[in-house]
Amino acid sequence: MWHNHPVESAEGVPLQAHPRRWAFALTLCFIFLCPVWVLAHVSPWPEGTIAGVRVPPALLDVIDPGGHDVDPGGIRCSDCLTAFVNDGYCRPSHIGYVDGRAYVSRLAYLLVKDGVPVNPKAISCAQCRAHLNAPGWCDQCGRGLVGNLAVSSHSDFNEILMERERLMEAVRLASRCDLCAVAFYARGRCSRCHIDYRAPALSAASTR
Amino acid sequence: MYPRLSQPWIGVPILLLSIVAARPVLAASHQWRFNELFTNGDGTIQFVEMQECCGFTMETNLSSKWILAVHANHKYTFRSNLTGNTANKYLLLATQGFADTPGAPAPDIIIPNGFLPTDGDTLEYWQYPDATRGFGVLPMDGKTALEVGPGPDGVSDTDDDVYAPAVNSPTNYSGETGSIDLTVPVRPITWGAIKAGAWAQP
Repeated sequence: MWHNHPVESAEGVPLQAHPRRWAFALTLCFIFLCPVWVLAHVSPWPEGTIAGVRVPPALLDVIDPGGHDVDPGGIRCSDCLTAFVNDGYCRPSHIGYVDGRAYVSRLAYLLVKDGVPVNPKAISCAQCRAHLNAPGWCDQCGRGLVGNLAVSSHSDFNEILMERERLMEAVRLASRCDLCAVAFYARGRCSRCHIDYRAPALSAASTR
Repeated sequence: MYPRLSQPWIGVPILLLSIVAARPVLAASHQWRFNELFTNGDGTIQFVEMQECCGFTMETNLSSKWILAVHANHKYTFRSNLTGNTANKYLLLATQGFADTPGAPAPDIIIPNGFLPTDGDTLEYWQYPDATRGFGVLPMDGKTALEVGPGPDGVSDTDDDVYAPAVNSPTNYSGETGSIDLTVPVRPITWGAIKAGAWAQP
């Protein structure tokens, strides 16, 4: 417990320690310093898991699973504005919108729009349980499972699977060159290896 | 007076709350696009104006990303992040010569002379293919820049955007804008000119 122990200053003058004051001051310090500490030590793009695939940081940047705040007044593309209102995807701009947030990859957009988190322990269907490890569609329940998400739209689920395949290829490439992985996933050019991944025929396998 | 904490453990939930509340907002930098390019004849006065294209408010995380003139292999790597709301903001990268030119807004970043090849190139911004823009021979008349406009689809900020000549209008991150005119010779001010009243005339 807190006790008031009188202490003395260097001049021998007794001082009251006021432990409650110290506790209050310490709490204030934590309140104001902790955010600084947390912000200083958390990488903005830590390694993470998307659709059950472990993804390195550089790829997280282009997949952008967290989405972004958007100022609707700053949207100049009319297709984007329509998508913003309807939780849709603007194909010319490659931006999807869900609940007012913007997602710059198709995969992130589909996962946020359609994915419903499931509790693995609460799944009673054997087929669904099997898909927790390997994504797949359960005809009985009328839903697909990918990672810890359930998707009810079959067409969106198929698209998620295709995007996931591409993501897995990119992750494989990342072991060789992280920028190649990004370029492959984003259909761009690796500025380090000078390999252009924009050509549709060029796959990760052919450049390994 | 400070509040009296009869239960010092009250600080624990406050502390936990402060940590939870401090969950960082994920800043990014996907949506910067090349918007306007300008050079003079010898490349000593150049600017590259970028703009956040799509109303994203947190495109601040530029540090260690780069812009690259592909064929010339001229690369500038950003050294720090931005602060504040980025929606539709501009970012002005320019040479020191540009900064010293009358009428020029202060550049946000100084780039080396000749960063932009005057005979055309492709500009890349990190690994974001949506930002990649090719450009042809740059106007070098001292007034005209290449400015991005909507392409055949008539929609801005899409893949087919094109550069078109326009009078330069560089704008920096704080919104300061201006225009430079290198066709007007800069004459030294002499006492004789001041006496004649000719120094203020174009």
